[in-house]
Formats: sequence, structure tokens, C-alpha cells
Amino acid sequence: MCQVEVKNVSVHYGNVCALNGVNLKIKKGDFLGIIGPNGGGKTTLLKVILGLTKPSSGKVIKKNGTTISYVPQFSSFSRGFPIKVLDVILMGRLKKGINFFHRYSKEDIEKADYIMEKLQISKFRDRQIGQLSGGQLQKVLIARALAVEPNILLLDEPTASLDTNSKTEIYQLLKSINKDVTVVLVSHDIGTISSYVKSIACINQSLFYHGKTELSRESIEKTYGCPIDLVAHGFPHRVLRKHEENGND
Amino acid sequence: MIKEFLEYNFLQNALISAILASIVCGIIGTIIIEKRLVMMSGGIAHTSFGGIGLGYLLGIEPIIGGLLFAILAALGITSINKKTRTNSDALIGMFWAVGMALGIIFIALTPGYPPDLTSYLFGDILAVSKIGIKLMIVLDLIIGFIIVSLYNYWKAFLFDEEFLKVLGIKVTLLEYLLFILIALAIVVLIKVVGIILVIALLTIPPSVAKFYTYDFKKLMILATLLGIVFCILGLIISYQFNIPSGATIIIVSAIVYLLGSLFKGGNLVK
Repeated sequence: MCQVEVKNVSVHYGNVCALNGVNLKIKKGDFLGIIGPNGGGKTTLLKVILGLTKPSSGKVIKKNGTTISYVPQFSSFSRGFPIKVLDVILMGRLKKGINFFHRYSKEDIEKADYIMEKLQISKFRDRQIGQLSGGQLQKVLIARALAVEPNILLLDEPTASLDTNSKTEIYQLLKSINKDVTVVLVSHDIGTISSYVKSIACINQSLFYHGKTELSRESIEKTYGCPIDLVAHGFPHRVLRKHEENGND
Repeated sequence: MIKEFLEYNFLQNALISAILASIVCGIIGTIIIEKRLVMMSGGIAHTSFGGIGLGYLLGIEPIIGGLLFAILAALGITSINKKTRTNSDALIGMFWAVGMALGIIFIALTPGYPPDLTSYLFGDILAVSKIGIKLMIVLDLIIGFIIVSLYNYWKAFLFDEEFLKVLGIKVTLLEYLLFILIALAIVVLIKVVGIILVIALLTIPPSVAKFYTYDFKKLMILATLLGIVFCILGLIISYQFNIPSGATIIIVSAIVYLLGSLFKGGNLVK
């Protein structure tokens, strides 16, 4: 069952091509990892799916009743902004349209508290977000995204600035979220990602989809445009066989 | 001094304007600091000078012209910025100077003796008229109503507007509305501290308030109270020493900020 279909989407910023003829089907219950180099179009693809960026050609088809929620990169907002954790999560309860004198209902607050409990961040409820560590803040953003009650959760580099322990914690959290929600994340962190995701796509303007998590060396090298040594850090298992010395340059 | 406040009408007017101006700088000041719109606000303020000049030329109340130009500048900068690749900084610079230039030309074209513009440039809280106060009350009510009634949206918009877009909320509408509010706020403040000094009154009280709280609502309230204290203190000092009120208010505010940053700065997370 396919919840979202990206059909032949291209995006150009002026003369720069960010995405070129991308096709992608997001299947229900999937845990899809999209990997690629910086500037490869990962974030652009997410923004196209979210409707934040209009594709120059092609289209995104969403199945009726699909609610997509989003966990942005840290850099998209100011960490010094005077807002409490609870208020950040409550943002997810805002509905479409603008209502005068909107107040969060008791139900909204209960929902937020329930999610905080589940993610074990209740103790930060009244903290300003600038006082949180990277891992804690990431959980708050995930909590906000879950407050929307989505069936698809998109994450943009959710572990980019985290240490190994917090990374593992976030991935395990996502794995448990994946029981009810389709998860799509973009990352350049090839190693760790492949031990959690169910399927993988490589993107560098064009997209190469791999149903299973086993990455072929060829597809990675095609994405990055050079031979690459893949090592799963933080974990004992190696994802791919080691890259030979004196490989083809 | 208290006796004089009770006795003289113009001092009472000044007191009321101080309070009305402070409400605006507490609310809008906090917003423009968090949304990094300080230069934008400066640009809007200076552009409004063109409207003030036009007001003199056409023989209408200059501040009404100023209000018109401020709103046009706010909307102009945003919509041109969206349509062209000129960045907003450059646009603000252009509006800033073009507004001033228009003001000077309009005033030169005005027949008769040139009017005294110091009160518009540097403010004169002691010269606020009855009509001026009425205009300030109306603008304060508009700003207050729009901020309070859409409070949850403003907070979310200022923090992370992209997420609001994903939720399907019309962010552009909030954006334009905010710019209009900034324009209204500036017009309220022009009478008190003038076009050139407006930015200081919009930025200093919220910056001092930020030393003491990181709650958005408390920030606005505290900045308002601080604004009132600064304005009244500045008013009293300027009255006693017979020096310009707008400039005195700014210097008082800046000294408090300096003291605050020495004793309190760094206690809260940046």
C-alpha cells in the first residue's frame, strides 16, 4: 500500500538542478532511509513531499487521509527563542486555518503530556528549549511531530549533531514509533542508518531506490560519485564488506 | 514634579502617551527582536518620513501620511523581496533612503515657511496633542487585539513558521499582518521618540526584559513595564534639565540596559 507517490519530480533553483526526475513510493509501515551527499537534494525532496517547495515538473500524489508530519533540522529555528517545551509540542495540535481566540483544549494538553511521558521527556515540560541538550531537543521535536497524529513522519537529519549514545536512543525511538507510523528520514549517516531502516534510497539529484536495506557498493558509489568505505560506527556489525585497498578511482 | 503632573495638561498627555507607547514597544519590540526584524522596522520608520512630508504638502495631518507610508513600506519590502532576488537587507536600505528623500522633496515643495520637523525626527512627548493620543489609543487597541486574539499562532509563527506551513496554516497572511502591525507600532512611537530613535525604544526594553525571563508572555509584559519606567524617568529628567525628551528616554533606557548586562547578562541562556 502506497501512501505517497513522488512522480517524476524535478526541482530547479535558477540554473541549479536539485532534483532530477525523482520517482519514489512511500509504502505504509515502511522505515525508509534516504541517504546522499550534502547538496544532493535530500532536504529538497522532503520539502517537495511536504508541499513546502513546488516541483518544477512532476507531482506528488498523497493518498486521502494521509497526514504527514515533520521534524526539521535544528538550524531552521532559533534555539534561544523564549518558548517552553510544552508550548513547542502543543504547536503540533494547531489545526488547519486560523481561528481568533484559539486556545489549546484540555484534550490537546493531555495529548501532549501523554506523548512526553512516552518519550520520557515529561521532566522538561516547563524548560525553555535553549536549556536542553541536542538529544533532548530532538525528542521534543519528534514529540511535536507526533502531536499532529500523523501516519507519515518525515525527519531531516535527525541525528546530525548528536553524540553516539543519543543517536542510538533516537534511532531506537524511531523504531518503536515505526510500529504505528511510516517513517522517512534523510541522512548522510550511512552506517548507523542501515541497521535500523527497512528500505533505503540513495539520492544525488537522481534517486536510486533499494527495497531492502542491503546497500550495494555500486549504488552508493554512484550516489557519491567516488569509492566509499562504509563502516557502521557505534555498532559491532559492519554493514557492507570492506572496501578494498587500491580500488578503482 | 507630581504637582506639575496634576496641574499641567501637557504633562498628563505626555504621561498617557508614555504608557500607550510602552505597550506597543513591549509587544511589538519583543516580536521584532525574536523575528530579527529590527532593521526592517528601522526601514519602515524612515520611509514614513516621506508620508509626513506628503502630509505637509497636501495639508493633511502629517502622521496620517506617515502611517500610510509606513504600511506601504512594510508591504512593499516584503512583496518585492518575494518576487525578486534582491535580498531584504538591500531593499530595506532603498526604502529607508528613498522615504527620507521623498520627505525632503515634499517639504521643499510645501508653500510658505518650512515646518519644524524635529518633533517627527526626534520625538517630543511633551507636544502630543489630544488627537495624537486618540490615534495612539486606536492603534494600541488594534495591535493589542490582533496579538492577543491570535497569540498561539504568533508564538508558533515566530518560533518555526515552516512547521506551521506544514500544518496547512496560512503563514503569508500572518507575515503581512505582522508587518502592518509593525508599521502601526512605529507610527505610535514616532510622536514619542521620533523616526530616528524609534528602533531604540523597540529594542531596549525587550532586551532588558530578556535578562529576567524566557517566557514569551512575561517578556512582553515586562518589556511594557520597563518601557513605562524608561519613558516616565526620561520625561522627568528632560523636564527638569530642559533637554529633549525623546533623546533622554533613549539614554535612560540604554543606561539601564548597560547596568542590566553587567549584573544580569549571561544568567539566562542566550
